[in-house]
Amino acid sequence: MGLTQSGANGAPRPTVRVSSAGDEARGTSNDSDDRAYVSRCRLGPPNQNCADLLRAGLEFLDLLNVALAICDSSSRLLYANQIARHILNSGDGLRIDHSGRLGTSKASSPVLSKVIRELAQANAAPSELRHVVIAVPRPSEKWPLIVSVLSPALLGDPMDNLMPAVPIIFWEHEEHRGIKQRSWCEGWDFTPAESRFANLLMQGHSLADCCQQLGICRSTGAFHLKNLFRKTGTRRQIELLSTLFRGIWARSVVHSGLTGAVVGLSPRVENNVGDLPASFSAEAYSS
Amino acid sequence: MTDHNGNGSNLRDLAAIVLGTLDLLRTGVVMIGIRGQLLWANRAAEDILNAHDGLEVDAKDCLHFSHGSCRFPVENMSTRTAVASSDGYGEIKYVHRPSGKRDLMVISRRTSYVGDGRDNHMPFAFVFIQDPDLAVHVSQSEMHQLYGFTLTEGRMANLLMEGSTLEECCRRLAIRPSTARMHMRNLLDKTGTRGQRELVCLLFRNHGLMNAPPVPETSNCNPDGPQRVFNIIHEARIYTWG
Repeated sequence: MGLTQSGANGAPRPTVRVSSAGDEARGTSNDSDDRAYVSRCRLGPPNQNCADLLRAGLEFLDLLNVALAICDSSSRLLYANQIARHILNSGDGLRIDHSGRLGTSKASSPVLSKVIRELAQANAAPSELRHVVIAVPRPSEKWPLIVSVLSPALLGDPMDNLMPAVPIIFWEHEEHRGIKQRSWCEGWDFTPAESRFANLLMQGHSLADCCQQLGICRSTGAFHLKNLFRKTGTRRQIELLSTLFRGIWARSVVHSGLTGAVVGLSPRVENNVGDLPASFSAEAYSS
Repeated sequence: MTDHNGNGSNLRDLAAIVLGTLDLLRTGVVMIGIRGQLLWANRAAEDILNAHDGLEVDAKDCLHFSHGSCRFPVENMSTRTAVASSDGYGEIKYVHRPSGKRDLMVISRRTSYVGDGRDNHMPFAFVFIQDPDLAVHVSQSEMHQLYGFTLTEGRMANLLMEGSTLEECCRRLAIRPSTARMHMRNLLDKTGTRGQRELVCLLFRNHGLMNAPPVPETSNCNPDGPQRVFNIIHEARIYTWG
């Protein structure tokens, strides 16, 4: 591939890959010192620009509307980004209990806290368990939250003790239900009517349903559909959906606003992220 | 925050977790500095850049179009908007691919902070790279965990997400139409959807954004694993958190 590069001084740069599951699984030694080393050296020597990258990475998750929460082995919340706090505060699916532990509002199968504990322990004793996906039901009857519990990383506290931290990611499907018309316009040149039509199709509606919801007659709907096929270079509805969905995440970023200013933080959640330095909390980030 | 002794290690660990999450995205994500130099790229972006098909990285670490050999235009972005406004800002470009595959969709967007803009190592813009020809492949274990799909059902679900018809599924999986219809019924039953269209929407909604982290058994092509090529610009510096 010929892209391997070396630094300006000719010395090879340290790799910064932060992949979790694969690399660690490939490592032969499971000695705890070794793991600490792996976790720390991924981002290279101490003085690198990891703070910049961290901030950019967090902004990025915000743009994509992806929630990230980090828990210790007993489900205690160590960190939550703003999207996560927003969902946790609403208590719709996931919530924080009075002892600062992450839990589900309704019973889920498998049980979230059990999965977190098992994954955190799997770090100490390697097993096949690396990544668990749970569909968490929501009291509001919205689409279930798909919660991915990832294999643990090691997180140092301010006293520099290392503990296993389990990253958990989820996102609000509703946010991606329809993306702004401007975003469809660019490149594909959908008209406003076509954009509305595309958004409805992506909710799983049939042609007839779409027409009914938009209050247009069937022939108009068929005309929109034909134009969508032409503009995306597809021939069938499923193919069209596949094409639309593949681009939606990237497109949603174009005009998505940062949520920093609008999300209210409840003191309850805020208190439970106290273990990380203040600079990780939302105030520092949103400034 | 100018701390590299106490909080610095913690910061690095958290950065590793956050960037690790971005590694799971199916969309290529690149962070570039003000000169267009690459600061960080996720897995999906590395795969796209390594293909040298449309976008690549030149000898100076800068993002570069394969076609016409010109640099990714970063300078324009800095003059057009000082900071990303609250209602968002981004730009879509289509980048021609020499291989004749469909154009890459490239979305660039400024980060919301940039300091005085003279810091070379500060992430200045995000670049999203979407390969429209890249199929969304959901891992079998993920589908099994969530819906209890069998192996064949999982394969069929992946084919449907590529836009395949039932007939194509029969051909690709070497099964009879009656068997395919049975699998289809099971897929709908297990997901509680009412048709192929709803099924595909559900799968995309639940799995379209993120890949499952790679499982060691499935990385079969290269025993040494994929070649990791991009590095953070390596330079010691003191950082002040604004």
